[in-house]
Amino acid sequence: MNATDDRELLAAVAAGDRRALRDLYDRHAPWLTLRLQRRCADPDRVDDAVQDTFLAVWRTARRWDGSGEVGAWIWGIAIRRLIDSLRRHPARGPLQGAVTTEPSTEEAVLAGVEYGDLAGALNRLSPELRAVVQATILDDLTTKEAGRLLGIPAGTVKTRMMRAKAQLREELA
Amino acid sequence: MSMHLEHDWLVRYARGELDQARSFSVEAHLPACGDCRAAVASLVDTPRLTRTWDAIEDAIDTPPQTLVERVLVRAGVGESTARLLAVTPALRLSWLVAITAVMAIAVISAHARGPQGVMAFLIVAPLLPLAGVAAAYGPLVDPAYELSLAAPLGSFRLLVLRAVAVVASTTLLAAVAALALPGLDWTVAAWLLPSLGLTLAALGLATSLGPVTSGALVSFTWILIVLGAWQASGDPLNAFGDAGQLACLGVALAGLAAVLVRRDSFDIGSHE
Repeated sequence: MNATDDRELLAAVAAGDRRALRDLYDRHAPWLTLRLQRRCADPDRVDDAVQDTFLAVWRTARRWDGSGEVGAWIWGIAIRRLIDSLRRHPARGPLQGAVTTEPSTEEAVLAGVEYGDLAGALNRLSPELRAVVQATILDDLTTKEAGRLLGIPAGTVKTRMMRAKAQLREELA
Repeated sequence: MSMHLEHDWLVRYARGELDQARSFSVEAHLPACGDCRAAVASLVDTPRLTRTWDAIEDAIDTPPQTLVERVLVRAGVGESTARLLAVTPALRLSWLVAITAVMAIAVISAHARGPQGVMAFLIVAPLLPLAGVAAAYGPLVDPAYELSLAAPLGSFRLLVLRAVAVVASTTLLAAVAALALPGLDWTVAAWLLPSLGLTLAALGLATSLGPVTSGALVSFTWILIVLGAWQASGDPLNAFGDAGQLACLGVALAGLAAVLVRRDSFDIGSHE
C-alpha cells in the first residue's frame, strides 16, 4: 500500500472501474471520516460529506493533475464538501470542537515537556484559537473557508489567527 | 515518510481522545502514509462505512437530475417527488416548447383576425392544461408507466401531483400569452374558468373512460359548444359570457366531485 498504488487506482477510476473506486474508498474513507468527525460533531453530515467526496472522485478522477498525494487531493475535496454542506444548511448549535477532551493544564505542561515546546504551546491555546490554527494551517483553508467551517466571520478568523500567532511566539520565545 | 505513528496514538485519535497537538501530527501524517491509514481503517465502525458505500453506489447508479428536477428541488420539492414530476410527459421540455409555440400562434391570430382570433385563443388556451393532464398518466403516453405500477404510491396521489404541476405550468404560460392579447380587457382572463372546467371534467370522465378517450371527448365537446354559441348568436365570444363562465364553474365542481368520489378508479390497472 503506497502512493503509486493510489495513483494507479485513481487512473482506473478515471477509466470507469468501480472496483478501483471501492478500493480507494476502503483505503481512504476511514481516515477521512475520523478527520471530518473532528471538525463536525454531526455524524450524518460527516457521512454525507464522505459520500459526496467519493462521488466527486468518481466523476472528476480524470481531472486529477497527478501532482502531490492522492490522499491530500481527496482530503481537499472532503473538507470543502463539508464546508459546502455547512454553508447550505448551517448547523444548529456548536458543532466545532466535536472532540473537546480538553487536556488539563497539568497534562498540557507534561505534553510540552514530553515532546517539545511547540506541541505544549499548541495544546495551551484556547479551543477557539486552536480551531483557527487547525483550519488555516493544518487544513490549508482560506480565511473565508475557515470562517464557514467554524461558523464565524472571515474577519474573526484573521484576528484569532493573529492572536494565536502572538501567543505561540511569546511562549516559544 | 519513513517514520510511523505509534499504534497507541492512532487508537486514541480514532476514539477522539488524543490531545490536540498529537492529533495535528496524526492528521499531517495520514494523507501521506498508507500503512498508518490502513492501521486507522481497522478502528472505524465497519457498518457505518458500508452504509456510506451503499449510498455512493446508489448515487452512481441513479441518473443525474434533469433541469426540471433541479429547479423543483431548489424550490423545496422533495427529491423523489421531483423525479416523479420530471418524468411527467407534459412537463418535458419538448412539451413546454410546443405549448409556447401554440400560444404564440394563437396570440398572433388574435392580433390578425380580431374577435375571431381572440376566440381561437380562448378555445385553445383551456385545451392545453387538459391535454397536458390527459397525457400526464396512463399506459399510452407515460414512459414511466411501468415504473409507476410498481411505485409504492397511490395512483391517485400521483395523478393529483402531476395534474397540479401540469395545470400550474400550462396556466402560467397561458397567462403570459394572454397578456399579449390585443386590448387588455376581460378576455385576458376569460379562459381561466373554462380551463379549470375542462380539466376537471376530463379527469371526472377519465374515471370511467380512461384519460385519452375522456380528454378527446371533452375537447371536441368544448370546441363544438364554442362554435355553436358563435353561430347561434353571431358573437364569437358568446360562450365566454357570464352564462358560459358559470356553466364552466358548474362543470368544474361536478368534475371535482366525480374525481373525489371515484378516486379509487385511478388505481392501477383499472383502464387496461
